[in-house]
Amino acid sequence: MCKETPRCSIIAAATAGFERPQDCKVTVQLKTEGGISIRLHGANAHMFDRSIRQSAEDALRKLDVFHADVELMDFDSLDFTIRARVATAVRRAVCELQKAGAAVE
Amino acid sequence: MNNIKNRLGRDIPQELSGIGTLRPYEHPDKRTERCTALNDKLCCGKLVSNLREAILNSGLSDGMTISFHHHLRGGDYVLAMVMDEIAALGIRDLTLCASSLTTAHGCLIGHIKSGVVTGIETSGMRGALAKAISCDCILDKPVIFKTHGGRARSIESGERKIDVAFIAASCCDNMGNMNGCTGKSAFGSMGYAMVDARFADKVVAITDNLVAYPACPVSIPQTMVDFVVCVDAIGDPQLIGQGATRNSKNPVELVIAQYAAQVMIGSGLVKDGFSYQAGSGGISLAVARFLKDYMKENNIRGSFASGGITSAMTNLLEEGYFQALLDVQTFDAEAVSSLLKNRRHMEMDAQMYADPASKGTVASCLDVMILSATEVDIHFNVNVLTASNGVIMGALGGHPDTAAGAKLAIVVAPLLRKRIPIVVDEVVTISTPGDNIDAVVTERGIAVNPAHPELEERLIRMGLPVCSIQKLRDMACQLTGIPEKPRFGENIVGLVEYRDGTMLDVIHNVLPFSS
Amino acid sequence: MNRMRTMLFCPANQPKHYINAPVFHPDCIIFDLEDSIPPSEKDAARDLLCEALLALPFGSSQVCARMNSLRTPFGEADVRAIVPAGIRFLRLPMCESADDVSALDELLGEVEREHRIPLGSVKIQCSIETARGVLNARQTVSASPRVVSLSFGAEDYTRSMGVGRSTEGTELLYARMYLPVVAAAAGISAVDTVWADLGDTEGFIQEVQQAKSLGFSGKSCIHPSQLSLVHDIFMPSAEDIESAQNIISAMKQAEAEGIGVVTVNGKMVDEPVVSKARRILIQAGKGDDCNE
Repeated sequence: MCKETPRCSIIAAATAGFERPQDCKVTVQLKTEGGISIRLHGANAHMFDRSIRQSAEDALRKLDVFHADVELMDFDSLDFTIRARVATAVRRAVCELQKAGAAVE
Repeated sequence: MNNIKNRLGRDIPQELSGIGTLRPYEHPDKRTERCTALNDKLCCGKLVSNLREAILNSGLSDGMTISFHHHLRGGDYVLAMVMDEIAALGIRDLTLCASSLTTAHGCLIGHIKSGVVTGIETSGMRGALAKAISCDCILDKPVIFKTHGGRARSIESGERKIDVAFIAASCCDNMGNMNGCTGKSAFGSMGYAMVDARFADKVVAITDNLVAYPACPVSIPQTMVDFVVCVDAIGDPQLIGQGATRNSKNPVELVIAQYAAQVMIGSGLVKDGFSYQAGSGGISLAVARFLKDYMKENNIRGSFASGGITSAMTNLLEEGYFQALLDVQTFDAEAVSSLLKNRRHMEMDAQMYADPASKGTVASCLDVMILSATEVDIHFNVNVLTASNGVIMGALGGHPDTAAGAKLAIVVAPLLRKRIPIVVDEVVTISTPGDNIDAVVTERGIAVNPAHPELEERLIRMGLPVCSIQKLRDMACQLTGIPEKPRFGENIVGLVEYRDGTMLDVIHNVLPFSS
Repeated sequence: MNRMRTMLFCPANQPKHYINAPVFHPDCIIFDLEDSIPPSEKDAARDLLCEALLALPFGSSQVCARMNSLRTPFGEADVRAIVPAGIRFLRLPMCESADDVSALDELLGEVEREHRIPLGSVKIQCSIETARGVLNARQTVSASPRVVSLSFGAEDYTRSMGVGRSTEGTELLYARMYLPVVAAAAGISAVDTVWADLGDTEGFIQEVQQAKSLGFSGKSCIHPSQLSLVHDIFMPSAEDIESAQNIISAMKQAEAEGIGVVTVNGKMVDEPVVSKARRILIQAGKGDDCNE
């Protein structure tokens, strides 16, 4: 994902959610640049591909995140769960960042 | 008048006016019976040493039609055994006419690919076989999906000729008298098989329990049977009796069941002498429990319950809530035992059950029937055959027959399963037309077919959450979002036949989602 | 005062509860951020509740959240997140004194002002769960006009008393008799503790009937299967409903005609009678009839 540009680095990462029915497991890797990329997995995820991606992007935008890699394992969750889990992962990643004392771009 | 002396020395006229030509008695051993298994004496019976011999003797050859029943459900060994033998004999291009196909019939994938089976008629199919048909187009000709009643109609009318019927029985004697309710592999009613036995050219009985003559009871009599084969096992008893009768504790299912029971009560049909049919799923069984409470409180005795019979229904029979059970398929061991022991638990064949061309069906005597669905649309059309992604995974069964016949047909389903909305604009495949559906009951609302304003009025007055079917669709959509529609190819992989032989819908092959 | 016959507990970190709970029509759904959520998941539960409030319909059920105590690192974050997202009813656990309520009252005022929510919109249910809590209940529930209800939690209470729980529940008697009195005097509802043994329906029915006669207006529930039983038991009889309706209409008529004293069926209708009639109609789901 970030192998091309040497300057682009993952500054923090965190996970939220669970691999259970109607839930999703989200891993967010915050970056300094490179935009948003979302990888979606799940048996039925293709049926709601657009909606799931939109929800994830909305959640990232709401928290002012413009550069991140998101890995989303979906287990038939509704959009509100996607938004919540992405938000939690972002907040946890930010927490990690603050603990590490690094500056947030 | 010219006379001929017969073998016993009697003078027999050759011809008499008003009667016709007379044939003089010749020999006691000259038989004209149809039974073809005999070479010499009748008393050896129709027993042949193995399946291979039975197949050879039946005269099965390329291009013919064979049939099987699915009373052994997921525990069936017979179809696989017979198909393996047929393939080994090099016979090809057969049409398979099954009452239905289950997860036990995955072997057909291989036989289709190798050209042994080139046509299939069935009420349904599941698992790997269904997926291979839907997605991989392994069969050139489309599968013809028929209801139980429609299959019986087409067999009886001759439209569907069966050359050889392979009938598994858990008990059989050497002359072919058989039943399904005794023996280690007992499965209950032989309702679907009875039609095959009646009309097929040749009938092969396959049992793992050969008994002394005569078998008792007799579901299919010897008069219909050509060959009898004894094998080690016709099925897995665990899987035969599996499925039904788990009491649902799922709270959402219980809410749906409560509403469904109240719709039945609100319709005014639950009174002395009423008749009822439901499936074997969790919701259906819960409806039976709530119904029982109401019947107990109000001292109501029903006339009959029908269809696939579970122990929940046999309990109702024993406790006097119904006068009789009419059983076309038995779902569990307790119900099998009831069939054997209780005179009021009666076997019925598919013609009596649902053949629209017969002189009257049980389906048309029904007051209320309950069915589940994978999808329902705003026209009340029901899909039980394909999933929302377009892949075949279910069976028509007797649903379209009983929905057409019953005074009140209720669909019960959760409004969403996982993230899939169940009430949609248009179902992927129509298996029962909306004309025959009176109400759709979900945990969030009840929609009544606009053709029944009085029923809707009554349910509203009862305080039930009645709303339009469009509202149900909207509620579902609001929660799930709108799913991507499945992508279909050009091939027709299935035809959905209505019970009268007309075409209800067409199933195309499903293309993979582009990722 | 709203009808509060049942409060259905749903752990706030399980998505399926948000989807299913409204289907069972509890009077109130209480999403739990406290005891049923491990510390590592408090943030996730909070986020899930916020998103659910914004997106999902809850039908006729009220929505409440059991926040974490303000004495924990999570309580304040709970309030600052879930109130702007739409929560207007909070169960405050471990209420032991008026100070506990005042602290929440102050925080709520700040959040309401910050987010332009009408002041006083967010209501409080005080959860009384300790010996001190029971004894201080009168002051606790009067500490703020936001307090509309109290609830009793037997598990933590017996722990604070240093006693075990028995089937007869003798150890709970004092608290369960005292708290409805406190609630009645304050004009608020009282919700009884949960019944955890789902297998013992008879015991459950007995306890609910006892709760009703002690003056509770409802019960916390942990499973949908408990709801209809509680609703039935707390439903006033048809005669009581009719009588209450007569009293209220007599009152309204007297007010319209400027008459001070009213009698119904030979009995004088004074404030306590009217109050009781109002409570009956609310329990019966006819709250509109009494102009609350």
